[in-house]
Amino acid sequence: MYDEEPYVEIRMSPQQADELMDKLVNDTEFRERLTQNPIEELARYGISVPPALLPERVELPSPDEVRRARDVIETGELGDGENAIWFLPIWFIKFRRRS
Amino acid sequence: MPQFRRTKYLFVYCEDRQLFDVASLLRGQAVLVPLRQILAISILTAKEHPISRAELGLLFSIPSDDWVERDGDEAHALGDLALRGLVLSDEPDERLREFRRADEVLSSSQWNVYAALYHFLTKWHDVGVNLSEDLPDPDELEAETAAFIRTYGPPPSHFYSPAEPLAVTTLPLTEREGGLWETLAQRRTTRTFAPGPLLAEELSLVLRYTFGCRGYSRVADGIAVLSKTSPSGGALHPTEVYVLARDVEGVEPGLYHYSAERHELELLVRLAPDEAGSLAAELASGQPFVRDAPALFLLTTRFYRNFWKYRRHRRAYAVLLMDAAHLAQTFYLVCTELGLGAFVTAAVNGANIEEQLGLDPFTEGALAMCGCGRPAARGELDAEFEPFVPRKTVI
Repeated sequence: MYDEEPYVEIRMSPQQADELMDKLVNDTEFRERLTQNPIEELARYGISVPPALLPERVELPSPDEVRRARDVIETGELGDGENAIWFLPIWFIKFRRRS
Repeated sequence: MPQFRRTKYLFVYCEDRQLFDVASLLRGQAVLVPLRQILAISILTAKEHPISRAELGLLFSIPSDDWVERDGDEAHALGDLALRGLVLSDEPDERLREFRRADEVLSSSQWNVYAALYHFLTKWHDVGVNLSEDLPDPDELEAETAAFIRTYGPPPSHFYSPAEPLAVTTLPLTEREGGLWETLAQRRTTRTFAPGPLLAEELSLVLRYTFGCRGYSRVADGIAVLSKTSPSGGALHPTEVYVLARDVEGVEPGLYHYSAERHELELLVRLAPDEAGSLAAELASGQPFVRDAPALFLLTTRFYRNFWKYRRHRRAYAVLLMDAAHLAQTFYLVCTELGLGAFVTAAVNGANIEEQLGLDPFTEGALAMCGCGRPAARGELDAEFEPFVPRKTVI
């Protein structure tokens, strides 16, 4: 028999994944809380991190680095794929402003 | 000992997505890694619930057609699944009681499970598109459009022809004027409304000629089919309409049910005009222009009115959507004939509409919103079209 290595267990919904990514980019207070208390904050998103896997000092990538990485992710199959600006009849606005 | 039963309104889906490697993230690095997640989709909660393989095994260890007793750790784990609407439990908890009721309503009202999956998992709640009253900067729009086309390429061609038709028959370019022909040609979407009330007579005509009952035919004892100006599957006409009156002459602002039987408005909620405008925008997911329409029309459907005949039928739900779409086109034509501007949108917060109307969402659900009013001078949100003549115009 052998002792199992500690590992990060993830049980998160697509909505939780999207929200976590969004907060890492846009929510300064969340980033601060995550730095101070990573186990509790990540648990809210279904991520269980064993204490053994925590670094001595938690440091997050900058919001820009997170944004660049996030931007290469295709929306998951269950993603909403919603973009607010497409709710506008954008073509008409362009047309009328040019005319 | 608690009893459990798996809900029949459960689907399991394996989703692959990318997520930040958590260990790297906490060390300052944004590294993406694949994440494979089992999702149990409960129609009772209209949510995807991430579950472990052990929970998946547990889900399938109990039947959906019979109650079974469990105790100890297994009962505890099943209790967790019950709180997520994946398993039914006989425990006297309010949420668990509501799940049992929803499961019973779905079953007794003859929902097809695939239709239920589509309807409940694609419904919006509290979605706000965050569009401000001010339109975006033209440069921003230009950049957004260019970026979209760069990423996804141009749209499919405007028109389609099969590659090698066996023959082509040229049809005469016949034109007609007046009456229905002219109304059809003038139909357009209006998103800019002039201030001022809709006349009570105009509202009455829109309701009578779009949603009103024109005739009936008795088909059995106590059963009649109805005739309206739009077709409906099985002549069942399950679509209901609720009027959100913001500024209608002689009609107190508020939310009403339209009685097609009596051609009357039944007041459900009194509202101040400003409240009616704000509510309209909230129900239309934040689309700001709906505030200015003096009258809005919330289209819902009574599911069992259709499913009574088309029991667990795979095509029944599509017919409900088609019914609402037929009504929307009739609404446009009636408004056009009256010189009113009109719109329809499916980008609605269906769950919020149902809450506002006090509906049981498993019995009657929201599908779309229409609106009308006197059109203002064409605004930036309104289209201008060039004439198109087949075989002559090149786009």
